[in-house]
Amino acid sequence: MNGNDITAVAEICIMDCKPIITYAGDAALFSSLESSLVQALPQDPTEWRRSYGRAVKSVYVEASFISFSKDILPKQGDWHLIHQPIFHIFWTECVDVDVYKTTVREEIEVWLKTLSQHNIQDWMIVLVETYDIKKTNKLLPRTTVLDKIRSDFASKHGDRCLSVINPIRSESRSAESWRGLLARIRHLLLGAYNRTLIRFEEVIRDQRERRNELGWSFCQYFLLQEEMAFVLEMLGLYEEALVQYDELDALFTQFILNSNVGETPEWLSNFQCPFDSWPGLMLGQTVNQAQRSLLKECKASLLEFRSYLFSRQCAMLLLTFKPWEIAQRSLPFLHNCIKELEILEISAPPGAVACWVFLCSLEVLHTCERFNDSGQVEAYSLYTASLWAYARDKLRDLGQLCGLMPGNEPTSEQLHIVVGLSAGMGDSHGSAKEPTPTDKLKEALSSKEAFKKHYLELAELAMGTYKHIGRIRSARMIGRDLAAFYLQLGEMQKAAVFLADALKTFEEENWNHLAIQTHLELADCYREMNDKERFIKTSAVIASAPELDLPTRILYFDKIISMLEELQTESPLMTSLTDAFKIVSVEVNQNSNKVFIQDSTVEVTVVIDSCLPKQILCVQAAVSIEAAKDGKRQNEMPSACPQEQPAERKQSSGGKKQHEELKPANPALARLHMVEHLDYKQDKSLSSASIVSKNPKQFLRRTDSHGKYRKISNTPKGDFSSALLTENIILQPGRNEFIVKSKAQEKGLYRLGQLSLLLARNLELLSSTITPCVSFEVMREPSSLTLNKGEKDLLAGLEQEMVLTLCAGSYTIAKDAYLKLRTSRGLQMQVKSSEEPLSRDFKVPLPQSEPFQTLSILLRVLAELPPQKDAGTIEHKAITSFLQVTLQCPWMPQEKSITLHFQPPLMSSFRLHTAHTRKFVQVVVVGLNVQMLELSKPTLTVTGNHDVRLRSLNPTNGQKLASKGMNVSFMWQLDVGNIEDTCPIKTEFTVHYSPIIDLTKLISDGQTQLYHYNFDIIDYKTLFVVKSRIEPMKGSEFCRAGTMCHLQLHVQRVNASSHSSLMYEVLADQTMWAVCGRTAGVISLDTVDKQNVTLDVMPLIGGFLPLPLVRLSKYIPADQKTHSRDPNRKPEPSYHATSHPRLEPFSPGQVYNSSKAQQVHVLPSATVSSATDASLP
Amino acid sequence: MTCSVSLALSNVKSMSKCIVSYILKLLIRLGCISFQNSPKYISCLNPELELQFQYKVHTSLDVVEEKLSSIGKTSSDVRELYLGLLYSTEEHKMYPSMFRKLHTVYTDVVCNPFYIPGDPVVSKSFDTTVKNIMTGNA
Repeated sequence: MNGNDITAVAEICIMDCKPIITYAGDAALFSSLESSLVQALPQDPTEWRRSYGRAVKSVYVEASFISFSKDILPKQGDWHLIHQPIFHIFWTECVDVDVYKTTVREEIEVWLKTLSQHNIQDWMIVLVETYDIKKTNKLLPRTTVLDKIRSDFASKHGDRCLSVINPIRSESRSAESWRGLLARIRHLLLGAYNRTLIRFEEVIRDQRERRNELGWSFCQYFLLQEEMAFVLEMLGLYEEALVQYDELDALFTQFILNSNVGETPEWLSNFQCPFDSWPGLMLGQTVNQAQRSLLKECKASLLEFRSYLFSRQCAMLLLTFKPWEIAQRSLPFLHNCIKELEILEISAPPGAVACWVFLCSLEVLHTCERFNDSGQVEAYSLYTASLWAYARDKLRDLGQLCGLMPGNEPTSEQLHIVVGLSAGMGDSHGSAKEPTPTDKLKEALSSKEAFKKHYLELAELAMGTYKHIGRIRSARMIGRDLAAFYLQLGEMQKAAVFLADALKTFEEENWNHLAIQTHLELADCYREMNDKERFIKTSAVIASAPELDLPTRILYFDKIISMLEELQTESPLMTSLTDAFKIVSVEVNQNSNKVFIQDSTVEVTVVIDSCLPKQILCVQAAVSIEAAKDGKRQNEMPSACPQEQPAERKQSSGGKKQHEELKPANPALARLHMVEHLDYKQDKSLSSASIVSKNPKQFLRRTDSHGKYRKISNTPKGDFSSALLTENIILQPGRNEFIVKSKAQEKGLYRLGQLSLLLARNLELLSSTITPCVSFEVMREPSSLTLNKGEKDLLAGLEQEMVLTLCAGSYTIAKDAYLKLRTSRGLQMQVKSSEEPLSRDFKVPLPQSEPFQTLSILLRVLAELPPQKDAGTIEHKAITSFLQVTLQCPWMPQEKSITLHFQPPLMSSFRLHTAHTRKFVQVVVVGLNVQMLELSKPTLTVTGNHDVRLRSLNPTNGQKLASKGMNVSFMWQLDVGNIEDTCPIKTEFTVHYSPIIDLTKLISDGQTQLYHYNFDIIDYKTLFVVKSRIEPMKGSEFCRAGTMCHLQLHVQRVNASSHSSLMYEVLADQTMWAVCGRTAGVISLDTVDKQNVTLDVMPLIGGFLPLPLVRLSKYIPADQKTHSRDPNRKPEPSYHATSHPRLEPFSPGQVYNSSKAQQVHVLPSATVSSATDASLP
Repeated sequence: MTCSVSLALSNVKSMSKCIVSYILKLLIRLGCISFQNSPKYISCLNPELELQFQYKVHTSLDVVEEKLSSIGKTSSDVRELYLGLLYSTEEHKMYPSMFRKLHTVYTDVVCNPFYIPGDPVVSKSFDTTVKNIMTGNA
């Protein structure tokens, strides 16, 4: 093959080229070996050691053999290395030294001479020997042909002469020598390349040095250096080859960049001429000879040159199986080309570059798609995504250029452009099944419909790939473009979807400008769709955007207002509050108690910033309240006192905040837990002191952007049924403060929920739950009522003061409220200030008052003092009387009972005294309390109809004092007259008493109370009088101890009595008297009124001895029925009456013992002189 | 026209990054991106193109994220500040580059106890320095 042949072929494949080796000498011999040589050479790699310390490469050497001739030897200056023989071998099988000397030697000489004439040193002489078994036993010949050849031709290069055993004749023996031959050929061949390439590099370098010389052409240089790349590619050193191309690429780029600042070399100006064709890349492993020849003729356009170079680079990359690098290089390559076109100011028909870029991109993408194992896809997706996007961009540009975008109709001019562009793309070789990029582009440009299809497909691919590699933002950008496309198409729905997606991303990352821009676009979209609700929502955001200028905002604001009027919806349109308002603060207006009392008004001050450009009427502002969870409340209750957490209070001027809510929204503001850290030296002295964070990882870790986006959630409307409200407020732009209020309802802990602003009747702006949490507590404290006595005990029968204390609790006492008091029997009360008399049922008017106030009302209290006649045990029981007061408050459904204990200040008792037949009534009043009482005007009256007279024996004007333990007696003489002692006399004792306030001055408070005491007097007649007398025995004047005396007993009936049988008993003190004989006896007064009985008694001691006591009792014989006046009084004796006689005592006063307490003088016993009877008569 | 985005990783602890882009010749803009990827500071000499560039800077965040995550995986030295080409178009290339001066000023801002990390940067001295960098007076 020669150079002329090559140009005729449109494409060559370097892969098909192999290093060329010539053969000379015994052609027949060689042809017998050729096939096995060609086959065996590439089987093993050889290390290619190159000069200048370049990396050792492992190369698989292939070869093709041609017959040696003088013509094919490379000529000086011809550097088409891949088509030139690089190595030369002389083959002979001459074994006979003589034959060698005669013929072969000469042949070799001629061959070598020819080579040396061409300055070729890469040769080899192979002597093929036939292995002869017979020979082996013989002695080696003194000189062999090989030795001869070596000595003749290769005295310095002994390795260039090799003998090899003919593998065809004796395979078994030849293997070793055959391998040696192959290795030698490979080695020498590569050595030859090394030498040649070094020489070639020098040439290239030399050429490059001359790049600034006039007449130097980059194209020529390019072709020259490319030969180097070809060789390297041929040897399978694709990366090395790529280096060559990259060097050329860089050099060219540098030229163009330089031309921008300096002069443009002549060769470069060839590139500057306008181009008329823009075929895309053709990626493959072949070399496009057509393009190469254009280069050779310096006719290639910049795009053609760049395409060629890039396709060669891609070929190398494909050979090294790196499609991803193609993709990676593509975008910079395309950008670079466009930049170069600009720099060189190359004019091109409009759209031509776009076409080219599109074709190139698609070609690369299609190439990449051929590699569809997942690893590769993963590797190149990273780059293809932007390539897809770029292709899409270009297609869009073309669409715009050619009037193919929706909404346009291509003009004839634009149709003409399409034709021109299609022509410039060149012919396509694709099939219908596998359309080439050119086919696709042509189709896309052919009609609007086709364009749309292709454009959307591309956009879809680009977006999908971006999403696949996680470049959401890039995907969103394409989405924005697509939205614009759909907008033009009139498919607002689809556009809105893409815009909304983009908006979400922008908002998540706080790119306000971009977000608001998208809002504007969305608003247009919604308006077109006539989606009023969404339009209003979006417009609200726009109107509130500080990024926009005021006119725009006002425009949208006005649109909202007008649109709202048109809008006919039942429920208000709901949108997010944050769109137009910012909550600055929400505070509960706390009173000092920190809690709200049930039914009081909860007021919450809301401060918001309005971002709207104009003032707006807020029809209703409401803050919902939510009951805090019960569990939380219970946990909180122990520390319910807000004072316990001063730190919390500092943070919130109003409202308690929950602990968990206190966590700041910004993690960067979280408190670090630092602890002190001390380092000690070995001798225990302090080396350093520092503070360290316990868990630095938590704070130092890189915050991954993904998944940390601000969540934009549409909070559903909470329960506004019990919201704090205010109505009709004007919200000005900027700061607004208003108060929402409502009544505190059930007691409990509440937190503020959402803020809702109802604007212009049917636009409701709703916030999410207000954070940090603001809560308040509603409490209800029951009111309490107490009735307090003073220091002293309560006394019955005296008017005293008591204090009715009303703690209002959490209640407000309304005007005209009153307490109703009802007392139990015997207790009377009245408000002290009132003029009304004491009563058992009355109302206490209450003053109007605020919660937690205490009211004290003085009451007058008077408890009835019942007659206190009983003494002893009964007295104690009666110390307090339990009286009840029943109170009824207007706000309490139940009545309240209060038990009061009253002590009686005094008690009274009476006694009947007898003096013979006269009767006296004594009433004793005993003071029971330290409270002194003044008693006056005692009266005793008979309440029955008895003819009874009472004569007072009391001083008329005397006042008596009664104090604790002090007895005061009053006395009356009872004159019964002749009435029978059968029925009791009913009497009533009254005495006035009044408490003494000042003891020293004995001043009573003037108010006197009357004490009543009723009692019945029974047995008020003296029936019998007993008289007893001690008389000495007859003859004695005196009674003497130890001497018998007479006890004279006189019993006389003084009033009629039903009892006539009486028994007397002498009850003598046995230490003084000894009764001799009978001590008792029965006497009868049936017939007589008087009886005398004499008894013998003996005084035992001397002195004035009291007379022995004589007791008189009723004697009831055994057969006699009882004559008791009151049969019920003693039913038992009457029951036994028939069996035994019995005694029945008289009531005191019925028997008067007139000798009672008399004494008799008894002389001592006989030794003592007689004593006179000193007894009284 | 060339454009470059400067990505300044501030000190390791705050983990916040700052993107500064500036365009030589015609317009200069500057955007600092916080760790939540929201712009912290935006300054542009040519307001007409500001929106366009915001879109571009925003898009280039994809690449920033990609590169940062790959740095985290492969290299332990997170202080490597150079991230390579971020974003390129026919007209612009965005390279993150580190302005020592900007970084210093940014560090000052972050160290201000009254500055809440993540908030937009509002600082006179920061403005001045950035303007100086943009106009080439730095």
